[in-house]
Amino acid sequence: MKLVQGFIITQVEDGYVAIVAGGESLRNENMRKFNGMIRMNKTAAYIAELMKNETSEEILVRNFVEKFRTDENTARENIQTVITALSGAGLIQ
Amino acid sequence: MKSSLKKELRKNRYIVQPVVGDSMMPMLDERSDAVRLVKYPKKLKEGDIPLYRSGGKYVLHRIIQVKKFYCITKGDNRSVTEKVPKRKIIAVADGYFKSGRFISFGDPEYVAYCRKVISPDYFYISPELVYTAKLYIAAVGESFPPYPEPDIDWEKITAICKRQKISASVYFAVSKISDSIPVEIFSQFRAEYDKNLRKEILFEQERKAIFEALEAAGVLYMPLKGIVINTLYPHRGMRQFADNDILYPEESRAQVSKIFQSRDYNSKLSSDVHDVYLKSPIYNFEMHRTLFASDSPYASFFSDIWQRAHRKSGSYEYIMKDEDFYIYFLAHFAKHYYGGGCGIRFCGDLYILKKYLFEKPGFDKSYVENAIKKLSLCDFEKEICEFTRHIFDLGNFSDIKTLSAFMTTSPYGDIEQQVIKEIKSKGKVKFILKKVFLPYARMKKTFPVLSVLPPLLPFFWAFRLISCIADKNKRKSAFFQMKIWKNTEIKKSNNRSV
Repeated sequence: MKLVQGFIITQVEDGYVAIVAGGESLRNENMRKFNGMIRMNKTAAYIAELMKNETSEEILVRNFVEKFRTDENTARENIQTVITALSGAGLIQ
Repeated sequence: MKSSLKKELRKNRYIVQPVVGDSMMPMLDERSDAVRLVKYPKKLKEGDIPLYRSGGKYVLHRIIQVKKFYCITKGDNRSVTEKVPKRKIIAVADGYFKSGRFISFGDPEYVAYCRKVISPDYFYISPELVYTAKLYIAAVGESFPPYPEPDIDWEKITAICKRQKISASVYFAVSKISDSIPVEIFSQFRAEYDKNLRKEILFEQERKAIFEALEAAGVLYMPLKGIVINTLYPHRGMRQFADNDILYPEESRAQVSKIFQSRDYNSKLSSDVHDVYLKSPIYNFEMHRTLFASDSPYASFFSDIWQRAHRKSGSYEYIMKDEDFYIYFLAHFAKHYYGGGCGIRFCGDLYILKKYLFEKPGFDKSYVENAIKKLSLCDFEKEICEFTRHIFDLGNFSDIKTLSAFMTTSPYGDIEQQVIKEIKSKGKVKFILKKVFLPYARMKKTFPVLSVLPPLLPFFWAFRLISCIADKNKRKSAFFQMKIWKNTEIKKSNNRSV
């Protein structure tokens, strides 16, 4: 799985935001409806950044555990929350 | 409505009409007031309030001068006057309902108010305009904003912010007093800030790609105006902007056009100074070939700007030196201020530039002073810096005329104001001639063949006129300017325009 193209994730004052840019994203029906921003915290932004390239839940869990020095269950919970949110917005292909 | 209104007035002695708009504040408040209209009297006088049609709408403004065939009118809450032919007047007011209570025009309180309003020194500014200015200044100046009065009209404030393009900035003030603001109003400000932040991030990304393309093509470029100023504001996404301005050498025009075409841009507007490239959904790049038109009083000072700017090591990007950036900003500010007026955001930019550039070590203030003297901008700079210092540093809002001029003009000025000023300074005949027969120096910028074949100038004048008539937007703009030309009084004996 990976994020649809055209996503920019950037740090702002009160966290991170992900917005739609051009490219394949504009030809995606769901993306055209979504013309705003998704606000995220640091961990969600990290996960979303990894999902710009083709990946799997297991790879994400491994990276998350290493980055945040946490246990697998916590990592999986965070990752599943992010995947559910992004998938609900039609942003995962 | 006109014929039914006249019919009603023939049947009844008077009719009562609710008020729409705020042009007659404080006398008439659209939230609660209505006006009583009677038949057009035999003789009109100063202070009368006629109902007439203008610009497709019904208007109720006050007569400030009566002539043989027309009147000059002005809203009590407006600075612009209008010439109204007497035959267009449908009815006049003889009293009004203020929160349900009838006040006749014979009432001593009203007579005193009317006398005050038609005096040349009268000036009114709405509490919403003042409070919006205070919110904006608190946001940009990073101070705590004042709390609102209980009866403040938040719809008017959001409308003022939208017109001034300061909603994203004001968000930073209202977020400090969010408990005192209706929830839906606060949400609107939040949405405007989010929208602007998103726009800024998208522009940053796109600008990066355009700069990379300019580098690859070996084209020199210099970021201008908002691209630089935005980075100095206290918060990302705080300062609203419409476009990105970039300077580049005239000889690279074809290459730059190719770059934008390859990125699916349309070139919508072109002038002797810049080309505008547009791409959906929001991208707007103004590519300047020169900073000012050749007939501008500032053109000569900036003619060697490339030689004075600093080139980034290993890049084709040039950075204007801080002193020149400030002088260029000031010249640009003056151009709008003396043209069609400008919004309060110019004062915000001035405050920010003074704060961050002037305090930088090594900033050459005497270079700036000499340049401003050379460009005859001393008086303007003094006036505008004093006003900005008063509102930002001293919290002094006593200069309500200047404040109103900024707060009632859109960010880049009103075309109507600009046209009126031009007509009054040049005269009606010269105004028309200058619009139709542009000087050769400007014509050859738009039609480069004129540099080689100057005798073709009359042909290109005709071509430009025909193109203007054929283009829907240019035709609309021309008719609008002609209407203002027709209504503008040159001989003024009682001009109250601010």
